[in-house]
Amino acid sequence: MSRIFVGLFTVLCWMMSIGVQAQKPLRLKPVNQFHLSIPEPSDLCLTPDGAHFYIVSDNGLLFETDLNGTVTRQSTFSAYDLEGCYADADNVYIVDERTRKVHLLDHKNLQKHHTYEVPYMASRNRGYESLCFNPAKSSFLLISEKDPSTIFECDASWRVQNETDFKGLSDISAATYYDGKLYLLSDEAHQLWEVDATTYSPTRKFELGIINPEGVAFDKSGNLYVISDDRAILYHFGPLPSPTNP
Amino acid sequence: MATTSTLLARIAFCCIIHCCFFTRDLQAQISINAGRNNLEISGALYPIFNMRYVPGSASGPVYWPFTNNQNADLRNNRFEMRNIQLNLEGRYANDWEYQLQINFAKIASPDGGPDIENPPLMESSISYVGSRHIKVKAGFQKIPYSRSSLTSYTQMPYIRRAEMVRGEVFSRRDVGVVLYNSYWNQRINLFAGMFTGQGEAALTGVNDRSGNFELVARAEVAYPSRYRNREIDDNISPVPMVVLGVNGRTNTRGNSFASDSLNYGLKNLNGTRNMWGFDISAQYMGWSAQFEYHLMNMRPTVMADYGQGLQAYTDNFNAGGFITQLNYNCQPLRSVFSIRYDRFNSNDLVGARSGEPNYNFLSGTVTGKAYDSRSTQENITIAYNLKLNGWNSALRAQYSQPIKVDETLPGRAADPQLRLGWQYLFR
Repeated sequence: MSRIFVGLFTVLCWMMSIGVQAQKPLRLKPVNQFHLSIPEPSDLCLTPDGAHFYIVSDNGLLFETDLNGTVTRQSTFSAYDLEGCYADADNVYIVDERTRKVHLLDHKNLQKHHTYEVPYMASRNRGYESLCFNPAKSSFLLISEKDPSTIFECDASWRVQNETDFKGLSDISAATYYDGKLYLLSDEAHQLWEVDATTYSPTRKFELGIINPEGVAFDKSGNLYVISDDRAILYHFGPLPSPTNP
Repeated sequence: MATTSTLLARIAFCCIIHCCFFTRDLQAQISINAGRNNLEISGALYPIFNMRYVPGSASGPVYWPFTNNQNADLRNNRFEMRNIQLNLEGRYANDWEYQLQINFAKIASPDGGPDIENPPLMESSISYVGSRHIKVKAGFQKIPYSRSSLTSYTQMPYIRRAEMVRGEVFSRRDVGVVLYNSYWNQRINLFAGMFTGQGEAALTGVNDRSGNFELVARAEVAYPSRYRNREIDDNISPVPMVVLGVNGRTNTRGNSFASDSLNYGLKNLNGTRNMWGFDISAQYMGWSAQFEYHLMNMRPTVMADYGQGLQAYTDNFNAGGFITQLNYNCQPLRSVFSIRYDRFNSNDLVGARSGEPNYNFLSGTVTGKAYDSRSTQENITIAYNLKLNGWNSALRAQYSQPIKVDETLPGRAADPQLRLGWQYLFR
């Protein structure tokens, strides 16, 4: 009988240890919020000129908005379930979670001109949830949401060059690169993790306290913006506290 | 013998510990794309052990209600497959969806008929979702009535639903068509449906002699954002969330009483049944709570089916009750704790309402007008869930304690029951 109790005690201690491993994240508070007229917004990215955002939706639509979330343009191209976007000087890149396809669009008319298929065997809603470019590795990143959260490094032709299972967050709903760091957003944990862009090891964690965060971006001044899918709200958090002066 | 039992117990304990440590990354997820088609294949395995504390009595074994199945002694412990489930969900472009969900575990049940709570066919429906104004779903599907009934078993902490919503009092699935839509970023959801009214028995393909259909409507309002059909606060909501649902259904049947006698005689009433209810669910920081209320008014064609002599007093009776539940999702322990209380009165003429005749269902006599509550049942149930790999692999335990048993129905277990289950989802 005593062996059973010892066994149960060991299991209990192991389970509780999971809870104390995590470092306490810094709590961020939004300084402003903007209601979006976009159904189920799922990610955003800054345009190369820094004056607008591109926002994609679960309904397969792409919008351009100003920094207050007011829609300025909408693409006529529609996919099925857009979950990630990124823009550089040449293209707008959007990823369709359902079909595992990356579409490249022209900035001027928001028309698609290339499509790449990046196969990934998983259920419909366990495909690529995030897309960004990582200058530290000169790679595009495609990240699966959960079970597991895997970071796929792709070349310019969207061929997978490397993959890394990311542990620690229950899911990854968006990713962006800013100022030498990679930022990973978790919908279920409501947290933003700053990670090393080369090793993907966490350096800082932030608690956001908003429902269903699905998209993250920084503007040119370093202000953090996060999108809530369920609430269709664009939250403006301001700049992150500096690491030495939180 | 004792040595063998001890050995088996140790093996079982080691298996559980092994599961805790090593099943976290087990997955089997498949989605196939072909042009504009997307087909997702998923499923579930859900073995349970049911320890019944029904004691032996001088009157002999307790059989399945209203049957003489000598192999279905309700006193015995048992192993059961709650689910052996295959689920095919397809989409064509952004306009069409279809779903086929089969539970192979319920092809047969102890009494030889279909299992009411878990019929072999769980869903077979086609949806048109291409219009932003209205969406249509047709086929065998869940009836949009009762949040608890609509919530998937994978999203609730209990192995067995509360008595009132598990399919014995009102049907949970039927063949029909539902019009629905969402507004205000899915905070408002409206449903209106028409069904055969035969419930799960509709799969036989025939309507009853009345030829009538059942009409159902439901409205939900959530705040501050949409509220998914979950009883557990899986995402540890950082702000309080709440949803209120109101629903009603009306049905006039021509079935004979005998066709529904496996239940409370309420599900396919020979006559008119009007039913309404409301439900409220809230969640915040891992805590969640639900409350659900239902009231049914019955106007049987043959009042005597519900008691010889009752027709002398009235032409209708009421049934109903409520369920209330509190849950806590403790993320560090990967555990969910829950407690539930449910109360159901199957016939207010038989008990509870003072001044009405007291009908003794067993003897078939009207005994007087004094207050009693023989047709009321009350249960308190607690549950514990350990998430080995989220809900994809979870150990579940449920202990139910009847506080009050419906004395008018034979074969109802009057003693506590323990259920242990392992839910494994591949999706």
